[in-house]
Amino acid sequence: MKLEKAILSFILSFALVSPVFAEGNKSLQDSLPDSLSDSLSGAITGHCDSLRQTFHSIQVSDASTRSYLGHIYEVLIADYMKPLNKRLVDSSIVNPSLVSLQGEFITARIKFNSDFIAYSQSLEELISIDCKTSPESFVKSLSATREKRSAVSSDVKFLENLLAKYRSSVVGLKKSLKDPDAASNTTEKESL
Amino acid sequence: MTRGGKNLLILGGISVLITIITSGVALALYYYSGDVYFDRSRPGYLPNTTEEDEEEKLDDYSFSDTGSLSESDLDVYLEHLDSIIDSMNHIEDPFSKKSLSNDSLGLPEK
Repeated sequence: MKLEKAILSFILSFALVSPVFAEGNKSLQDSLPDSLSDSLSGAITGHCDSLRQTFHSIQVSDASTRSYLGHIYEVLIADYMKPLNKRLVDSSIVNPSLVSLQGEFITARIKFNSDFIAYSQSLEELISIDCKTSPESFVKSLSATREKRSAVSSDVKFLENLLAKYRSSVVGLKKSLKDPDAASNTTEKESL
Repeated sequence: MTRGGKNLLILGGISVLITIITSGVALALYYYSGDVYFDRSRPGYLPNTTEEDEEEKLDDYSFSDTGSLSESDLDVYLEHLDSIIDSMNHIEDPFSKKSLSNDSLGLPEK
């Protein structure tokens, strides 16, 4: 009897604890845009299925792009930036720009990952909307998804710029190794 | 049914319940954390052989983190770095606005 009571209270404790999740996106019913034009509304409701298929294709294509770029970023950090900076330390060569660029690159990559997640969640929400019955919600969600996709695009461009700066710094390092006197003269001039 | 048999049934029921709850929590975390969007083992998202080959090529070179640094080391380093930059440039305007534009979706402007 005691054992049965213990088992029952154990089962009840699971039933009473409900998982708490972070709140999702703000409800699409809040602040809906002004009513859509007939042509836009008609196009959305008429092509709902093909729109969904298009979004799914974009989803798959974006997953492939993200995976490829993500792999490149990981390779750059693990096989290029970190080993070079470590070797600079071992060789007692001071190059703060390469170190700071590595840090910036890692931070930018993390931002890229989190922006991609936000964009993917928005795209998934867009696909789940029944555009035949809720074209206004569809348009609002589409607008939000476009913004999030634009953020991911900006992250990629920022990472490309950082990589270009990194390459220039490595070229500068190579020149300084070739001609250490020129490098030290340049440093003296800059300090004056 | 004997007392032992009853207890065994209860134990089995509790085990199944715990499994369902923990699996549910794990799946929920998988979706809410965003890991699902990085998972390419899902049906329809598997990489094709070309993608796998291209990714493998990137893993061919790794700059050594020990030893002194010379100009020739950096020449090789820059050569491989340039090949990676070329690989990135093969993807034309990733995540461009075009894909979700009204034109691409076949929607009128207003």
